[in-house]
Amino acid sequence: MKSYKNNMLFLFLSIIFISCSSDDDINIYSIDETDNLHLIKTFNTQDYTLELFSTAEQLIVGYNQIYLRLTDENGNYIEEADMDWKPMMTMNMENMEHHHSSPFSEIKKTKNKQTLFEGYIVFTMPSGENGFWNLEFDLSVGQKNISFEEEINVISTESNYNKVYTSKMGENNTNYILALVDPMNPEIGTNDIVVVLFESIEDDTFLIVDDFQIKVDPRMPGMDNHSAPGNEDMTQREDGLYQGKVGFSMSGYWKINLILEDESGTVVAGEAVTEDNSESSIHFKLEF
Amino acid sequence: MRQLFLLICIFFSVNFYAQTPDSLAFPSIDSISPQELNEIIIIGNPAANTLKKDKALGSLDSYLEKSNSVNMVKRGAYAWEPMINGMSTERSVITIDGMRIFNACTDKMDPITSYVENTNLSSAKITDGQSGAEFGGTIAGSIDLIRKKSGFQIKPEFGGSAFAGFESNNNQQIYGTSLNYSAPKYFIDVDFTFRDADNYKAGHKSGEKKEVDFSQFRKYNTSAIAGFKLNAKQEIEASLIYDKATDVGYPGLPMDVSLAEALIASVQHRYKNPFKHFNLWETKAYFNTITHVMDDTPRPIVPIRMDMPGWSKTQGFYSKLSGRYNNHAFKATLSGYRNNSIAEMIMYPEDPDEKDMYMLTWPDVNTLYSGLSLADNISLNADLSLLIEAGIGIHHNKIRSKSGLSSLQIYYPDLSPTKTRILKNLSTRLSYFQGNFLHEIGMGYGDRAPSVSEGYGFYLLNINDNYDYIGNPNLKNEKSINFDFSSSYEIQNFSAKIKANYFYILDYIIGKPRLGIPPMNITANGIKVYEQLNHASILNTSLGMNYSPFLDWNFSADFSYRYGQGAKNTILPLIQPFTYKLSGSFEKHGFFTEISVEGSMKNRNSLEFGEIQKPAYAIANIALSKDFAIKNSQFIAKLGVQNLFDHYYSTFDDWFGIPKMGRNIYTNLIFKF
Repeated sequence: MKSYKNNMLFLFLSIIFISCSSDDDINIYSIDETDNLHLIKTFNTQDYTLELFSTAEQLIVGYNQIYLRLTDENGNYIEEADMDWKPMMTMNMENMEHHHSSPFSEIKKTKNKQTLFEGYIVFTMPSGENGFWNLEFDLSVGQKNISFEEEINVISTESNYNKVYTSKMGENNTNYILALVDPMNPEIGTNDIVVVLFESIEDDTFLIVDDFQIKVDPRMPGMDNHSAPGNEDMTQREDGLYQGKVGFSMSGYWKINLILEDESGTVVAGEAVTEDNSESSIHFKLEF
Repeated sequence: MRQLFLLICIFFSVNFYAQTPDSLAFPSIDSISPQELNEIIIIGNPAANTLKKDKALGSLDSYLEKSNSVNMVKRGAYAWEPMINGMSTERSVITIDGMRIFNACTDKMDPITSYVENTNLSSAKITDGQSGAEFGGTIAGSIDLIRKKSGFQIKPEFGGSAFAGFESNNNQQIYGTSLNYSAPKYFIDVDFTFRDADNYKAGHKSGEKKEVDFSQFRKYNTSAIAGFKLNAKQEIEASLIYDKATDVGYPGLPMDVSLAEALIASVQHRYKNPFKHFNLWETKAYFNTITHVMDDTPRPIVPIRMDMPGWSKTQGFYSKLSGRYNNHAFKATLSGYRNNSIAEMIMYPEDPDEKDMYMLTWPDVNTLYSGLSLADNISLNADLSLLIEAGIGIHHNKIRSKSGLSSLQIYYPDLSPTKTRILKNLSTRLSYFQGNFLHEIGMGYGDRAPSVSEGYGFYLLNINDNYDYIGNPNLKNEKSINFDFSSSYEIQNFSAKIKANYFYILDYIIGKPRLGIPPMNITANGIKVYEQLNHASILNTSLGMNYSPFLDWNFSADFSYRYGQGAKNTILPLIQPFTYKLSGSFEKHGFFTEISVEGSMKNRNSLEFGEIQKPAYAIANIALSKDFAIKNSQFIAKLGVQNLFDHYYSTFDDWFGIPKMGRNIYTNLIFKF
């Protein structure tokens, strides 16, 4: 409880603001740790069931924060396991099958959770007529090794007012892939912005790019490219992701223009927004 | 009624000399209070006063503008912003019968004077400097608008009025009526006024357009006041004002107003001679709520469509005790209020699939104030008196909206949602009667808190300098040291008053450009953030004279001049140049005629605030009036011409350089019974 009280010498004005908040929920141990997660797919093998959850309702082009839960045939959760995965796109191009993967993280046990494992995948294109995504798993539980793969559905959320994934061939002929991690629920004011930055080596290998700097320039195209202060360029944090700040002076549609600079400060991708150049070739779009 | 009549007599004959020896008998409407250096302007209330001189049905604004202390900033034909002593409304306290009311518009389209009508009021009391700090911190002074009421009468009386007016320039039609009933134990007054005007036309100038687009307005106002006598010493009174303006154009701004609505209510208790040595104890509780909707629907071309609604709600009280003891006349006022101000900006993108853009321009700010004000007027001897006034108050702001707080935290990352300030004021004045002269000299010190816009405003466009303004919650109190001097002389048929006051303002709050931050409004030049100049000085001087060489003739002359300069070579904006008004009138057998000339020199413009220099001008006016008495009723007909020669002009107080009204022929018909 917070209270403010103000008494004047002469008395009779005393006004009290009271605001209460009850943060005293008791944290009961609950075996279901998937609150606020969306079950995307269940993979059934002979001995195990693997459930795939996402923080979003569907798998999307861009960054996907994924949680995995493994159950044995008796319905017990597996708390210890080694898991590897790999997304794989199969494309049909003029009767030629073409395969490529996309950037993904390792899978590790989720901190402070009994039953969950986590990782992320950055899908680079949606499932559809052009091709389909398979997700391959290699699991070792105790002495057992299991491998399986199954198709998953990836949608694109990109629209005139939404874009959370962008890629660009840099000046140095390296292909850079950027996906927005945060803010997923932007608010008026200063928001943390988090991005994953990969470079692709051929079609199948993706490496986290280290020690770059990503310049942030949010603009409102509907307000003649109005921008707001409160921005902080993104730098790499310990887990390899890039973090900075982005300021939104109002709600609505914002374009977050980006410029990639390598460790020496040389621009490798993206352009500054000027009166003649309304956007950078790498940008995200958010609407809230 | 008798008091009112006396007031009219005195203040009517000598334009507005408050401190004549005669007026000391009743220094203020609310009975005995200490002598104050104030000026009372009688409002042309068709129900109460017979002001032959005036266009009786003119707006309240036009009455206030007559004071040498007041300028009215015009953003159109409606809702002028009163500036006292060359300072805008943040620096003054404007009240209705002591009630604090705060405008709901971030662009100052609705000073609280726009929510009342002449029919609601009897007079306006204008107080300079720290004497105006009775109901809150001020720098410039105060205006208290005094409600009209018929009061208790020994013999029951029923009366009323009906009036109609027409003004040719903007086809303004004015209709209204009032009814009042007075009895020994109770009274009740009700009134209603309606005004409807088209665009006004500027004076003639070849190459310039006559019609000033978006200057129309429509206003409805109704009020009621009722009093009840509990016993010989105590009475209660309830008052209600409801005011609604629709379709108000502001040619000086990029937006108009579709609705400006106010409800102003109060209950008051008066206790005469409550204790020994105390002659009046007056206590009032009040609330008011204002809704103001700015929109740009009528404008054909805008960079982006937007609505900017705002709301202001205030609850407050005061309790005032006045008395006399030996040679002391004293007054103590305890007052408090709570205001909540919210303003939004909603922008509509061209693509209907794109989400509307939304921001809070006033982040749901609560202001809590409580203060104590004391005054003692000591008669040192028959000719010499000393007035001492002192006050202290607590001022507390709280940003209630989380999103509003976050948006300001873009600029001020460590901003806390609350801020508490102590406001104080101390002033003294010495008055000396010397034969037919009255000399007064005074000085004072006081401070004020920043306004909601100055402290918490977010991207408020000022079209004059074309900058988006951002509030600054870290502003210190603005402080003022003021000196004033006045000397007046009065004999049978001649009076004169010379007056000067000087304000040395410390931590003067003003917007300064902040480079590197882009504006929000598409057309704006940049961002200004409220900052504080080390110091600024404002000087106000005036001279008024009145001469009646013969019984039927009267001549008056008024001259005034202001000067404003701040540190860092800042020329203060909206400062009145040398201005004059000369008039001669003749009155006989209920017939009255007046010719007047008013004009000003070119102004010292502030380029920094987008002002251009306005050339000198002079215009002439004529007024005719005739009273007819028919049994117990009275019929008054008025005809007049303002700006007789249709002169095209614009001066320092015309926002965005809009031209003033050209020739205007008006008629007023008033029937009273």
